[in-house]
Amino acid sequence: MAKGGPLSLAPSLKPQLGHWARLRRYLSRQEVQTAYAFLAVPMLLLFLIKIYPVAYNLYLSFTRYEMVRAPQWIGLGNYVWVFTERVNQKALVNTLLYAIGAVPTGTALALLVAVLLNRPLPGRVVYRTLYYMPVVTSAVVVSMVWRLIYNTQSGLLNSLLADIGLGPYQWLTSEQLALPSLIIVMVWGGIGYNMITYLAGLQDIPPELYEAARIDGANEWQYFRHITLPLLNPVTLFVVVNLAVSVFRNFGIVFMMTQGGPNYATTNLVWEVYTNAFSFLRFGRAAALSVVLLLIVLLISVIQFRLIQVED
Amino acid sequence: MGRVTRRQFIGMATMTVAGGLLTACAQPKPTPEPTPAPTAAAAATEPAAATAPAATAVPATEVPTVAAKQVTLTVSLADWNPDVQNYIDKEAVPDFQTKFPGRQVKVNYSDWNRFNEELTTAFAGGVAPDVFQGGAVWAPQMAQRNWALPLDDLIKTASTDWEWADFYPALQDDVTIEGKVLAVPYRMDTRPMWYREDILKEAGVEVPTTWDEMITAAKACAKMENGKITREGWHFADPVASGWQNDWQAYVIFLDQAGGMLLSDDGKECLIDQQPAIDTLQFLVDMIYKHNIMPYPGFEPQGDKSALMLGTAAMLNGGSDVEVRSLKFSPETAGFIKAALPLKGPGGQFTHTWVNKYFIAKTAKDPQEAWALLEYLTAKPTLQKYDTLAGYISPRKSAADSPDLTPSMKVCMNATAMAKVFPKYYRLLDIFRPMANALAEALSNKTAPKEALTTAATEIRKILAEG
Repeated sequence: MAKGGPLSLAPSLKPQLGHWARLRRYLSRQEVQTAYAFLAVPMLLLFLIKIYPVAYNLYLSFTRYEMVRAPQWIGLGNYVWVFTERVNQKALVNTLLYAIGAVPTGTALALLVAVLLNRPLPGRVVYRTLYYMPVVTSAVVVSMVWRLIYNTQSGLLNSLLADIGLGPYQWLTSEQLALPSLIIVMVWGGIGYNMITYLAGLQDIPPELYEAARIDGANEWQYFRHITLPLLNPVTLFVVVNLAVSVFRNFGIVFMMTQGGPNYATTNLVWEVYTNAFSFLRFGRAAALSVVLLLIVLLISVIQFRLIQVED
Repeated sequence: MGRVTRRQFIGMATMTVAGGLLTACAQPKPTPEPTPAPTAAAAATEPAAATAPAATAVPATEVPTVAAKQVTLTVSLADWNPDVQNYIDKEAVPDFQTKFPGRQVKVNYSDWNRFNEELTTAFAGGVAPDVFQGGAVWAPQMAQRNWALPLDDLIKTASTDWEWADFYPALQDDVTIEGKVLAVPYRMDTRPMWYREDILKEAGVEVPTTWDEMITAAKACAKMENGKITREGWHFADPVASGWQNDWQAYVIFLDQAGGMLLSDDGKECLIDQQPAIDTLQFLVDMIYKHNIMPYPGFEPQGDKSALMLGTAAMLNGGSDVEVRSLKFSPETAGFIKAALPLKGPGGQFTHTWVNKYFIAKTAKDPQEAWALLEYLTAKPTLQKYDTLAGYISPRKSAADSPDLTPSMKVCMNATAMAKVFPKYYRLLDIFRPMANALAEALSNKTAPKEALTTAATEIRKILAEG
């Protein structure tokens, strides 16, 4: 094969063939045909499972569709509804609050745990396993257990607080406390996964840097501040963006613990998509909400890629 | 071993993939069901298409000449508990399959939290069950979505034992939309008052019959410690157990008693900002902040134990399954939990009933067979057993004389005569949501009842206008 890839030809041939002719010649090669034949099946699956539903969803977002009759084009009507409806505004604000609450906290705690468990502690494998267990536990189980913990009258949390003269608090039934209570569950559930990511990053830091700093008389905090933290920047970026995307998409915890209540205090965009689609059969509106959510998540992803490129 | 060429490798890989696809797509031949011996009764009523003879000898006069129809019927249930499931799987389905040889019944056990989306997905995917349960507000929805098969002609083919006239007229009306019967009721969830006999006795009060008597009794029963209520004189609603409808379902009973309505009879006008509705909400707000009878939000259940079972509440409006659930989850206090007729409010002595029903999907492959199953499920003996195990009130008048009824269940049956049903509007769920929001705003003392209900009414009118 000539240098420059499959479409490149020997210099002597270049002036003799146009672009389409070169393409035809390329595609006529057996190995190219075989490669595309193998790619065809996964591409078809990708189209059917991902691309077509997203495209159809986008179309539905511009229609009024309630499964009774064919979708009826209404232009931007659903998008106007998304941004003017009071409940949607609340859902959008809540979604941002979830992110503001869960992302920095989750990132910091994961980093702290990773740094602590990166040391040669006895039984650290056990600790790492314990921290990772929430990640592999079903969201339904996690939610049900936390509901019991949060129970106002008989929950474990209020029982412990009562021993020190505090509470009882209405963790899931108070409009002020419900959202922070769910944030705690989200953070608790995500520490393990992000801890593993940070541990991988920590393994990549050359120990010579710490050795050099030790010789220079640096203390633990200085190691962390001037070596560990800067060198973990790409990992932190990855963790932050992944955590943000996962928080934006969170549904299971809201569904199982509060169903968006009390009084919309914990509703988020995903919950509103679900409610509009399956409770009210307003598929057009649900589609518009999901498109807005997709755009937000895409924006976060684009920011991630740009920042990673800058770092590189 | 010689080197495998690229062509050979591609060939082997292709054959492996193709073989795997063929294996995955191949439908296994159905294992022939062991044909049950026809019962005498079944043989007497079965038409010419009888079953293929089984190992049991068949009387010479009834030698079948045509093989039985092989039909698979699917039914989705959302109202069930382990006892009901045991009955359905071990008794009802085998009995039906015996009476209707060749019919195979597959039961899908779901729950109300996800039932709506399950059915929506099923209908969208063309795999809806033949028979499915539906909630109190489903009949107009099913009509609007065109998912339910009209049953008028099928009801005419029902056996004389079955008797459509045995269903309460109000329930017949509830499932009739634009002159067509769309469903058959299987349970009523009438909500009388329930109380803890021991707590009322301890407080030295009688069972209340009016709103004023209830306030007096609840004040006597409520307990306070360090300025916080530790026992509710009246339990309004569970805060988080089943989501945002809790407050609304509790409020609507008081609304009925106040003579108020959510919508006009024709479903076109919102009446929730009228005086009866405002007065009702004010009454409830006063219970919390003036009389200190109950906190808001109310006490949470502990697992399957409600506030009444735990003794953290003295009285509540509850469903007919309170007794069955008490016996199951709190046998130590179940004996103290009794039902009483609904309270008398300014508008009269009323309560609300949730009428759940069976539908046949319009997409059912064989409506006649689906009807056979639905007829069986709603026949007097089946329904009696089902409702008793589930703790529901039977929608059949003949069930009122059943010896299985406990005193509390008899009260529930009697309360049905005072029960109202939801208006027939297909977007009721959409309307319940702003209602629930208004209730939360007012009951947490953030907004005055009139203002909260006026806001809700504005949103509801927008929904009504959208059509």
